[in-house]
Amino acid sequence: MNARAAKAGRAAVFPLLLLGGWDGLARAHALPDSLSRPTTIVAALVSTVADGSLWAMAGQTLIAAAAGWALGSLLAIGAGIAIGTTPVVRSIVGPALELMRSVPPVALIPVALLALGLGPKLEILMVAFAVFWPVVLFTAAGVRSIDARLLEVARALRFGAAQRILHFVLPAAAATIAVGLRVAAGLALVVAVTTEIIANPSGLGYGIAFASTALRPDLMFADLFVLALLGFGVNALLVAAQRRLFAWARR
Amino acid sequence: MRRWYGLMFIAALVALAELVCARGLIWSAIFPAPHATLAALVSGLAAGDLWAPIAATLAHMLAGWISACALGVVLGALVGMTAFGRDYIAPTLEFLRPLPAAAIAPIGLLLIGRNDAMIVAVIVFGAVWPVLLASVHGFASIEPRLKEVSRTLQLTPVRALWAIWIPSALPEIIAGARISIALALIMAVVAEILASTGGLGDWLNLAERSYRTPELYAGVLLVGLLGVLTNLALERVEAYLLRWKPPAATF
Repeated sequence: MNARAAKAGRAAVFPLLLLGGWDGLARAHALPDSLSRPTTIVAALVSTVADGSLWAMAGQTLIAAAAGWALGSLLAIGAGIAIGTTPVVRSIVGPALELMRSVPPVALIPVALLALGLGPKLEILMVAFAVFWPVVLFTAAGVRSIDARLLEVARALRFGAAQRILHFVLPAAAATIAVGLRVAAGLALVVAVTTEIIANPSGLGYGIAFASTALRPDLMFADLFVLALLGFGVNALLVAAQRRLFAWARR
Repeated sequence: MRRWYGLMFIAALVALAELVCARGLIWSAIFPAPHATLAALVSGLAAGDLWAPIAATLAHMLAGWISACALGVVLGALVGMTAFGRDYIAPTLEFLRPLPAAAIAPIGLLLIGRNDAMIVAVIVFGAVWPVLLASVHGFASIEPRLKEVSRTLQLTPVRALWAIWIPSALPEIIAGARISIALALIMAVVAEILASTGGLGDWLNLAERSYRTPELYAGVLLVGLLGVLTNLALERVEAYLLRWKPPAATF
């Protein structure tokens, strides 16, 4: 317990020095006013928490990211199973998918904006598009690495295609798919926030962009801090979930 | 024969898009026919309108990527090789890493302004992580016997760094740098959209706002192409730098 406290203490040294230096320099007017001050940032943070706007923004971002993640992952798992189980499908759609994958999702935000307009649909579909690629790759790889004898057993037992997928393919590939889903969840938050900053006026991303143009650095840094906390929390949660659910599949 | 399936499928998709547009089944103001996009690309390149954005994006991307690699290797060596770095600096980096990098762009706009420095700073923040993590791991996992060799030969610290530490960490650093350059392109597009001071991101944004969709799609194609080409180029560089490595060891 003591070692743990010492570790946390050492971890806090650098951020505290940074904040202290920042506050001191700002008090001495050695920094531009656009940088605000840690104490004003804390005040802004407290006020956004108190008036509820922070929860609303964080909720919008998380809901859009989760919806896009679920939609993209579902499509990707289906496509990944089709690609992983049938070589013909792989050779037909493989090159087209490679080609589409090479376009960074952010370059498509202007395209999606034109086609869909502003709103949750834009953000959710952008997240779904971005999330599709890692999940489809991990799913196809997981399905392909299933022991062929397992599928022979399924065939010998005369399971239909749907049952084969449900009872043999999915469980056998689940650990690999889970890795893809975890990568995708981190990506979902990133793409949701990016879409909010570039185009969609909702969520924490827009909160930060708005505070920036409104010359409210205190609010901007407060939102940024919450976003960092959110990213850190989502990441830690996913790592823990994966460890617990797939402890048996450790490589 | 099977190798051609993929190309035939892509050709069929393009033909289908062409047909759908020609029949007016889809609003061509938003989904231009493939030939219109191609024509916009060719005329943009021939008239020279597109070269300036391409050059600007390439310059942003390379400047940001090189700075990110330098920063990542230095920080990575600090965290990977010293207890000080591991205890005092690593936790702060861990907290910042899951932060969606696009969220840094509004901060850059407010503190630095609309210019190339802001774009490069955003790219560095977004692209530093893979190379940083790779060099932490590369420097931390050096063969213990090599350390003994360096002690036996009484190498000076500088000599040991050049002769032992850097070569053994290099394969991982380069692998990280390859992921970083893909992120550098993405962040360049994001930052250019927000800064609107030139580059392909700005091109996309302007084309979207003025409903010049063929030009918009031509820009998307170019961004994808830039990503593919830089990846291929880095593959070559990697093969050249690691030519001393026996191929069997690189799995």
